[in-house]
Amino acid sequence: MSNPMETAFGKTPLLPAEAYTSQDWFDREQRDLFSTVWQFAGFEKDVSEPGDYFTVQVGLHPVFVVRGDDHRLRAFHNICRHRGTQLLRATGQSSTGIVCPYHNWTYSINGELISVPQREVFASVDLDAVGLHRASVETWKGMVFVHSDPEPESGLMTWLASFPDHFGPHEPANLVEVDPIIHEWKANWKIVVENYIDGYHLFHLHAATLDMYDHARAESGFRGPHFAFYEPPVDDMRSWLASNRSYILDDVGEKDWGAFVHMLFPATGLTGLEMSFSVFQIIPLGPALTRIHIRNLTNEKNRSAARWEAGLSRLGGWFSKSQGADDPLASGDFMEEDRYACEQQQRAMQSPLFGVGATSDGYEDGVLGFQRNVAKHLGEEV
Amino acid sequence: MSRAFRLRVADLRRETTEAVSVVFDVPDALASTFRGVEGQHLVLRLDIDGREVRRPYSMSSSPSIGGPLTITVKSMPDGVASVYINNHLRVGDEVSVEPPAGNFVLRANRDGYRTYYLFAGGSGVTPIMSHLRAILHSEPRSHVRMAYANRESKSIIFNEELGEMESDGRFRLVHYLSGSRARSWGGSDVRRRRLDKEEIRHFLADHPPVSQDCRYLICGPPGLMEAVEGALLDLGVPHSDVLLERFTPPPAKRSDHVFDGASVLVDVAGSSTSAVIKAGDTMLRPLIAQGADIPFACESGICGTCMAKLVTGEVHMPITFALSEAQKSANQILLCQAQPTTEFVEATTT
Ligand SMILES: Cc1cc2nc3c(=O)[nH]c(=O)nc-3n(C[C@H](O)[C@H](O)[C@H](O)COP(=O)(O)OP(=O)(O)OC[C@H]3O[C@@H](n4cnc5c(N)ncnc54)[C@H](O)[C@@H]3O)c2cc1C
Ligand code: FES
Ligand code: FES
Ligand SMILES: [Fe+2]
Repeated sequence: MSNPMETAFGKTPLLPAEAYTSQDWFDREQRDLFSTVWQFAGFEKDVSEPGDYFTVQVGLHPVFVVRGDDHRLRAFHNICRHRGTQLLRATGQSSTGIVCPYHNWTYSINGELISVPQREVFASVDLDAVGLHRASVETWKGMVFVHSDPEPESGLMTWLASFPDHFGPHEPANLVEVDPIIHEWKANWKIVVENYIDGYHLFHLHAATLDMYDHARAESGFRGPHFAFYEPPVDDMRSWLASNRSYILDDVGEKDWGAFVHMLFPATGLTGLEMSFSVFQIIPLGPALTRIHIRNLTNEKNRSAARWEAGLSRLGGWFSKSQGADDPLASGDFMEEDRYACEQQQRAMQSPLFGVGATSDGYEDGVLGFQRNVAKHLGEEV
Repeated sequence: MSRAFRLRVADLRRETTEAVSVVFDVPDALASTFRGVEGQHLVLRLDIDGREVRRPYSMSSSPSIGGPLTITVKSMPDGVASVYINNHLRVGDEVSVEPPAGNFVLRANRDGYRTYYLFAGGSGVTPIMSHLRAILHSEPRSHVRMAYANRESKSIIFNEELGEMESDGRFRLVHYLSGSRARSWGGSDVRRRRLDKEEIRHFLADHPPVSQDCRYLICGPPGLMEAVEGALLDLGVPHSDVLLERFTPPPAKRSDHVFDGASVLVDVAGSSTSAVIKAGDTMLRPLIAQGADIPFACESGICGTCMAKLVTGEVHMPITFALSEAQKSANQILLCQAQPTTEFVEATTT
């Protein structure tokens, strides 16, 4: 029973169990996947003024994004050209220049080296030509995307392929942010992604929490490497929405009511609902540890807590924190249900008998497509 | 090679009391010769009172969209060509016109996803208009932010067409009016201010880029161009993202090192002409007087029509706007600007 595939009796998964458990796979993914693709890094509003910056890890590369005096965003590798010290931490404002904490080399927000203390000790080198290593940044619908390469093989729009046509009506740039939520799950990042795009579990794991959408009428498919998903509301939900229009985002017309639940490859979930837009940043921390950073946007009207909670009470605890139940499967919170399923699957992978017996037609196609795309980036035959 | 073709004036459209659009009839046989790309200019060779006057005029039409070849000319006080075109040119007249040329051109990026900042002043709107239409038409993802400076509302060329284009959500336009009698009109964003450095800073802050791949196009009177370019570079815009088209040259710098009585030789399409140049004169006119068929237009170092390659000797050029850095290092010179600083100078236009 050493080969888990032997336990299969239907369509088998494309990735072996060690893809979810081994440090070697994790390292290769960081190098060959996350370092080489465009990734969501934040919102334009995070850096609205000249000098505002945030830092972000892009695979192996620490990168920061800063708004220039010309109001353009620029991305640089967050390493000093002297001896590589990290320049900036987290988020902040740095309009007068970026000073390395180690020996005080100073860079402009355009990445030029503008001052070196005791410059005479570098008399033999030409410092004029030195600047921070550039990375790439592009924005779309108020979202900021970064790429570690200053001249990436494809621009953001080419990378997004036909996904924008299926994104839905949401205009994140028109919305305001409510408190972000951060989870850490003891599961491989791919289990989290697969759970996010698995249409089969919606009927079952979330039977009591996500029952306001009509899973049987879901439309989904790959647009380039990205998975686009939409399902309409059930009749109950539709009539609830019709009598609570004041909560609904201006950009979401009645024909677009429903749930847009997309996965930008490799690991950014975008969820657009009638009253909110959320980004799920799925950040691999280790082979069996993943951070999920959820950023939630809504309109100004809903932001006042009372209205927000009232509006969302229909959404089975979407953003209401834990409801206090010890059993995640009785928490009424679909995120807790998902966490339970993901962590249990990860744990089961330790068992020599672990195996995926069969993969459904249709509802689980996303999972296989996702695995195929991961394998392609790592140069694995599937 | 200086090639000009007789084109018939098909239509004259009055844009403002001071500006007229001239529509040319291009015969099918010349269609590809005269197609050009957005931002390029034509050189008109006008016969005014028995004298040939050459002037470059930008296309205000957008070749990539189609529509007839059009230029738009603003009458300058006592201007020889512009007054003639505005007041004396008639539909049906034939004019000698050189095909489109010039470097004020754009190449779209792979994604067709950019933010364009357009800065126009007065008649400088012509090549900007040519670009604007083409961008909105051929790059459905790109956005355009335009600042357009005029003295007063009645002198705004293309005001109506621009107003209609504002219904495209990807295009935003701010008018800057500097005259004391300037007034606003319905619907448009009008600031009664000069478009100076401070205003440009505000303009960029009010219109942050949509795509982060930006291009900045500037065309207008010298003072405005200098202010806009200076402000952009001060704010950190990379030089390579800025594209300028100058209609008028700034005051020229003199050189003390010019050679008096230099012998020059120019080769134009295999035929050589020589001339002697007095101190302070440029090579162009004396060579033409000796029969050299050198193409030229602006005679002020901005259109690039008279470009040649320097083979021997050295020259001083007061104005070299028409030359890119690459052209300068490849020894390209402008004959209308070139004053010999060595005894012998040799150049070729081929
Ligand atoms: C690449 C390029 C594109 C152009 N595109 C356009 C365009 O699209 N539309 C447009 O309207 N123009 C355009 N121009 C400008 C155009 O070529 C002419 O320069 C303009 O029309 C003036 O020509 P003119 O013969 O009427 O004036 P000119 O007789 O050449 O005089 C120009 C101005 O200088 C003044 N002047 C003349 N002589 C003197 C003197 N000795 N001392 C002081 N002042 C003097 C005149 O009063 C006049 O105001 C472009 C120029 C270039 C280089
Ligand atoms: S490492 Fe940054 S200044 Fe030395
Ligand atoms: S004729 Fe225009 S640059 Fe010389
Ligand atoms: Fe789920």
